[in-house]
Amino acid sequence: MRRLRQRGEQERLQVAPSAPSDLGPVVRERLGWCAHPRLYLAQLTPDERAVLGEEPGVDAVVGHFLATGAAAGLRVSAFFNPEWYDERLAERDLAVPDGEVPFLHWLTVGWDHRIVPTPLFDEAWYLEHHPALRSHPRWVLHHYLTRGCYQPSSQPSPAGRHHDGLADEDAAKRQDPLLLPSLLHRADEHDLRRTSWLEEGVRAVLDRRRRLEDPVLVEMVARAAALEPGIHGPLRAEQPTQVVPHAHPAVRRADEVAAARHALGLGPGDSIDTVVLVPHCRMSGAARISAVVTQAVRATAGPGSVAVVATDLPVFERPHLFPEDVPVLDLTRHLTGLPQPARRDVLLSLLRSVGARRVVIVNSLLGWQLAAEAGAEVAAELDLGAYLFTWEVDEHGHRYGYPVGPLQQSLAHFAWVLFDSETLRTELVERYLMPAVTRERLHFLPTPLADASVDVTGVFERRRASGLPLTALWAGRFDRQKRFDLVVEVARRMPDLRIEAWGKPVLQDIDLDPAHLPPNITLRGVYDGFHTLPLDEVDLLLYTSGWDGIPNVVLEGAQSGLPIVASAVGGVPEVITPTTGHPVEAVDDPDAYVAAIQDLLADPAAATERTRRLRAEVHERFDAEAYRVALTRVLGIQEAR
Amino acid sequence: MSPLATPPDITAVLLAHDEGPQAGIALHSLLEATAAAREAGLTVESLVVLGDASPATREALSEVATHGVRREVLAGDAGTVRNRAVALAGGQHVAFLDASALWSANWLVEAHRVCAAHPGAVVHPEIHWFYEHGRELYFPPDQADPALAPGVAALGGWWEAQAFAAADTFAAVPFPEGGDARQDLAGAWSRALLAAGHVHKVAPATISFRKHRPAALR
Repeated sequence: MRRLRQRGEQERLQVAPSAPSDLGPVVRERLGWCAHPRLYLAQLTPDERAVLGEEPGVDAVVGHFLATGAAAGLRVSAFFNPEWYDERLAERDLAVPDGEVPFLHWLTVGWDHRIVPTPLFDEAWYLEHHPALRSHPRWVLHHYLTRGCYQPSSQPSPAGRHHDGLADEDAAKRQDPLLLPSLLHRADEHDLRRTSWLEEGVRAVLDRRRRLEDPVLVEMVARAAALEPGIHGPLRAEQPTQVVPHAHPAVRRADEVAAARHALGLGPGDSIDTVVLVPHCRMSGAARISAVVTQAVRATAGPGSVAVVATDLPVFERPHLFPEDVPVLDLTRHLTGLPQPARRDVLLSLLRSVGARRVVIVNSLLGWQLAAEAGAEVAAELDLGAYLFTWEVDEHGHRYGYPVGPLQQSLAHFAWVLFDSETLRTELVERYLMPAVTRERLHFLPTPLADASVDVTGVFERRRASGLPLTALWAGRFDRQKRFDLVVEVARRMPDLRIEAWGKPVLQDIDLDPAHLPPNITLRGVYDGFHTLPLDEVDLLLYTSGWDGIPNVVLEGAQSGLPIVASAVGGVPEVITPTTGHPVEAVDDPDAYVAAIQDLLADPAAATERTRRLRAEVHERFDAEAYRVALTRVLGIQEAR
Repeated sequence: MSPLATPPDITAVLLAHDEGPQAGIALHSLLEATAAAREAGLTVESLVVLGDASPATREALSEVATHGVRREVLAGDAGTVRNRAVALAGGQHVAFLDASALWSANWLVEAHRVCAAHPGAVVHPEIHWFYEHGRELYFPPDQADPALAPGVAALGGWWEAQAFAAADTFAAVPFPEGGDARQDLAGAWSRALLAAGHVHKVAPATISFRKHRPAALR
């Protein structure tokens, strides 16, 4: 008890506490278990954080804490609340000696006395809800610190789990307890060195629960139990207590909605008529379509009329796709740690908050979930609709994806469904035997061509005449849909054909090793827009997808004047026909692609003629102004005055 | 009740559906709260409403008249039955009790006290005590709590339909009727009350006991 000073024994000296230079291995180990980098970093200034570098580990943070943070009163552990610890010591008529860092005092002294230094953990509650831990060989707080706080099902206190129940597999590795998003909520309103939104909320729960000790309530409970003994729920562990608004997840959701609204740049009373929901913003046809929709709405209804909200992944590889004055929101930042249906509810609240009159879902998973689960409610308030491009195919060859199950759940709530190909629309109409009243809500809109383009018409003929190496361009994602395996087989069958493959060199879902590709395939990496590719250094565009709508890469290839050899899938035959290119009907057969390329080689002049025809056709059919007029008519958007 | 008589302060309404024998315990609770209110000088009318009641529920409540309680059979969905019950109630205030629940004995007295201090308010117990799967306490917010920002209050989901209010309030903001009204009756009604400018208040030291936590109260 050497270091437990009796309260009132002496005046507290006004000196800054300091960390002892040598903590000893036992305390060091305890400190390591308790340290939470994310909480600690939240208390540092940007300059101080910069010293620690990006994502410092536990050791770096502990080192910084001992060197400077402890003396400054910073908190390194989410499970140490200095005031709570002080109160627990005071109950024993004790106090932290002057000049000592309370947290280190707890590690060295309080721990051995099994004093729980936080309102977030209740030893008895934890054991009641996890009875297997009664045989735990160490203090049960140790279990929570090292394991329980990273496990979604842990029940540490009468206030519940302190988080929304979402698992995070890397949480333990990072020493990021699952409750940290709640603890850091409204961080700017709390002195994180002492307390937090979560701890204040849990204290409110504990205070309210003490109300049951009020004599009047004691009597009321007794009288009710005389009528219904079952109210005590004997033989069952108690459920967590909720005290609204404290520590209630809906409050965090409401705050996230307010923050998201602020991030959109909206002031009080501002609204946004049209919201385009996208999953993320990376290289994909859907990303380009979302940009095209946004541009058309912006051009018609003016600035402030449309916003883009990314709902699924915090990836923004191509933000310049959207007009500069259109707000683009990464909603995923506001969904961290939230499970479903909370994520869906945040999205719905945000749409209400911005006063959206129409929502266009462009491959946003969260958007589709909203339509399926709350479609009737949403559709009563605004016009809801989605863009459909293609179904997906699983490894057994079975179709799935948005046009299959999700559309069935949501179609009744959609004011319109937009298609980038007539093929998919027709398929759905025929499969569902759709009545006219439904068909009329399904619209094929030819996607406008890109503004930027390069005209290399005749390049094939010129390159063949000059004897340059035969070179094919392939561009896309290296995934199962795009069938890069066919490209490899074509390369093996045509060793004299060079294939320049553009796209992210990540082979997803396909069994190919990039280190063992045929020597005539060159992986060229990511590209930013088709027009930036060296189109005059290739002879043709090779397109091998197993399924698709009308792919942008085919449209852009057509626009550029390159000859196209393409799998005749989905909406591709709407563009590539025997008179405009070289469609491959046997889409799984590499020999069919080889035959098409050889057909092309047999008559370079005819190839040039096809590309001219194709180029003229796509410029006529895939016109930006026609698209803008058609889209805004379907969506019911008026011209800005 | 004679048309010329002064209307009672409160009509205590027991709403019964398919609760079976449990409805008898709820009736007992209602009678205790009614007695406490009368002891406090309030006049109380008691009413049992059978809405699409199961045979077991009808049996459980077949002798309510012996306890001085009126019994009515009403048709319709949950919202419609409640609205019709309000129309039948002669009291200046109406207190609903579901037949799956119990009031703390002081409920009518304390809720009436809060309602008198805050005309137009809708009053809720300080504590909801659910007990089927182990005790679960829920403390509904008082709308005067400064921590309950308007945006949060509008999320609904905080307050039950088993509430106490002036009969005029129930008449002015009726329960949603038809369709899936039972599914989110409380939430939809709470939001409608907020939109109409009514305030949700809490009566200190009162409890509602109920087996199940309603899905709407989340």
